[in-house]
Amino acid sequence: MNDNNTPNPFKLNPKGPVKTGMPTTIWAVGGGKGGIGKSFISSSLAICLTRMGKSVTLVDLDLGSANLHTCLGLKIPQQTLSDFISGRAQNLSQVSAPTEIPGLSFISGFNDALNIADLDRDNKQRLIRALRTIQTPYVILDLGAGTSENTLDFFLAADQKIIAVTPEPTSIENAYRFMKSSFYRKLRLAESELGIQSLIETAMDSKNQLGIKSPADLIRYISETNPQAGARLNDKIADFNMQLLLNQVRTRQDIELGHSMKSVCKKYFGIESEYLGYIDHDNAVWQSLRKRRPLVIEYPYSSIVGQFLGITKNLLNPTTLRAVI
Amino acid sequence: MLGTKNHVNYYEVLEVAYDAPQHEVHKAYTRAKATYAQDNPALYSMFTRDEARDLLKLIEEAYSVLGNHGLRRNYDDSLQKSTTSRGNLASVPRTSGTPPPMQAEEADHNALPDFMVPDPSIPGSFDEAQPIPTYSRPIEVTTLTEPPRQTQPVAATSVSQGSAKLMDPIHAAATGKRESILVTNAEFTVRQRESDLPLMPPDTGKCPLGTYKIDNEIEAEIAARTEFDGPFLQRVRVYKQVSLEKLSVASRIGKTYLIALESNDFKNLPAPVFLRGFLVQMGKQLGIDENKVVTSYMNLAKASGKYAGKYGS
Repeated sequence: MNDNNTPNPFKLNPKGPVKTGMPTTIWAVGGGKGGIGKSFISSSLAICLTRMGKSVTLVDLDLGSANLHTCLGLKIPQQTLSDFISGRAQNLSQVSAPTEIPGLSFISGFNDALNIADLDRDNKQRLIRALRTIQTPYVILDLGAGTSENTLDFFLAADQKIIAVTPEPTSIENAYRFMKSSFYRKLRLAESELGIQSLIETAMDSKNQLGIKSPADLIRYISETNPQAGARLNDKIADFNMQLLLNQVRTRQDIELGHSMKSVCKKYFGIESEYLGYIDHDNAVWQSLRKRRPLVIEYPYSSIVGQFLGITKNLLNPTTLRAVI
Repeated sequence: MLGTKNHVNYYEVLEVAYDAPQHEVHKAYTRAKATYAQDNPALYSMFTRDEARDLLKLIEEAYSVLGNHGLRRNYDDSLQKSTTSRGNLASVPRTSGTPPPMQAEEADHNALPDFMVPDPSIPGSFDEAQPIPTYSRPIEVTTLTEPPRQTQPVAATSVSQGSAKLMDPIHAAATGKRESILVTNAEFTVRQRESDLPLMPPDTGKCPLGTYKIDNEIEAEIAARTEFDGPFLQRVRVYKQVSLEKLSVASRIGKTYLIALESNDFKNLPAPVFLRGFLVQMGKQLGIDENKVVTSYMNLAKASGKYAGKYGS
């Protein structure tokens, strides 16, 4: 695969800033359950980023049931990811389509029978490598529901791992399920890299005697029995930082759920996660979707767009003080 | 797992920074309590009920230490020592500056958080061991030369265990014998005492927090006194048979502050505006002229130089 002969980014984004050798930052929006607003969140974050003068490529990785184009108010695109995967398109810039929104390009996953499960290992690696070389400084991945291996790998490839969750118990359960799956996937990748497979297996075999009940206990046990491997393992999983984004918030208790989930993550996985903020439940969302117009464009002065802008800022500058608008 | 003692770091349990101010510790505690409550939807799919209960216990334990100035300072010291011995000093910064060496008295008082709410389910929230003195048996007034801060309330040592069960409202709330915890309210206490009035023998005095045996000499001294300092306030309190715990609950002043106040420990007292409020409360609860207390004690505090260059004085 060769992406070096991509066309001039000016052509892609007539009004967007030029990419100046900066590494591409990938944000992924996942969450396990369907219908919790992953596509809505990723499209809104993308438009907010363009509002801040960044150019963005939005990638619909919900292969099989892609509908991100509707969230953006686009027609069904001519070229899709399946062209890239089948080899008809050499690189992602050929399937990336400019949109009416300045600075925003879109890669669709729609248009044929391709399912995310059909993606084989080589093609998946090729796609992940290609995502890294996209010519816009920001790439946002809209992941599908479920915890299939491919979805998890795309999630783990991202720099900002955003978990969308709504205050419903079903959504929370699936979000935890998604976190667990991606954490163990990460652990498995790390152990094969570090060659400590046997260590984890031994620990898991006798986990009841050792009192290991959660990943936090497992890592602690490994650090104690083999401090070197423990330290390297900790390094490996240190970048597994999830960002919780609470959608469809209706009450004050709902807002507190984010803090609770953050605490439970810390105690269960032993890793830090961040509570990005929350999005109110708002009728403007379905109204704009029925009109097939993006919410950020249709109701630019609504409070919910303000919340999205605040969250986007938090994601851009993780070191500055977080504030929820 | 999480419960094994040698792993537990109270700061990690409450998820606060080592230098977090007290109000943040309190906030983290309330948040953690809400998080690990049984009916939280964000909990059940990750931790079993038993695990959640263990975590909750751990959280209570952590707050009982970190929620109290003195105990927290002690804990920081031990934490620092253990990390120094392991050669990893950097990870435990000091809470604030270099704390003075621990005084024995600070370690002594009950392991209760400074922000204490009366809660009958927390053992030690009330001095349950202290029955209210009644006229049925003569009460020895405790000698005033006793060491200032005892863990056991003074009255409890002098009053017999078998005395008639005339409970004060706080005690009643603690043992659940009366309907509501709201009876800890000082006003109610006064009314309660008034209804008892006809039964009281002539040598029994009352203050908002209970009854005591009148000693004319001390009464005269209190009435004549215009300068109230810490030790004298303590003397009045001991004379009126009010324990530190009871005064703390009724006046809503942390025990740490009461102790500092009574020992003229000005550097551990808050800004003048708060100190003034504390003194008013203390005067009212002990049934002495709060104006005199405030004026004289504030002069004392100002003279100590604590507020020098601060608060425009």
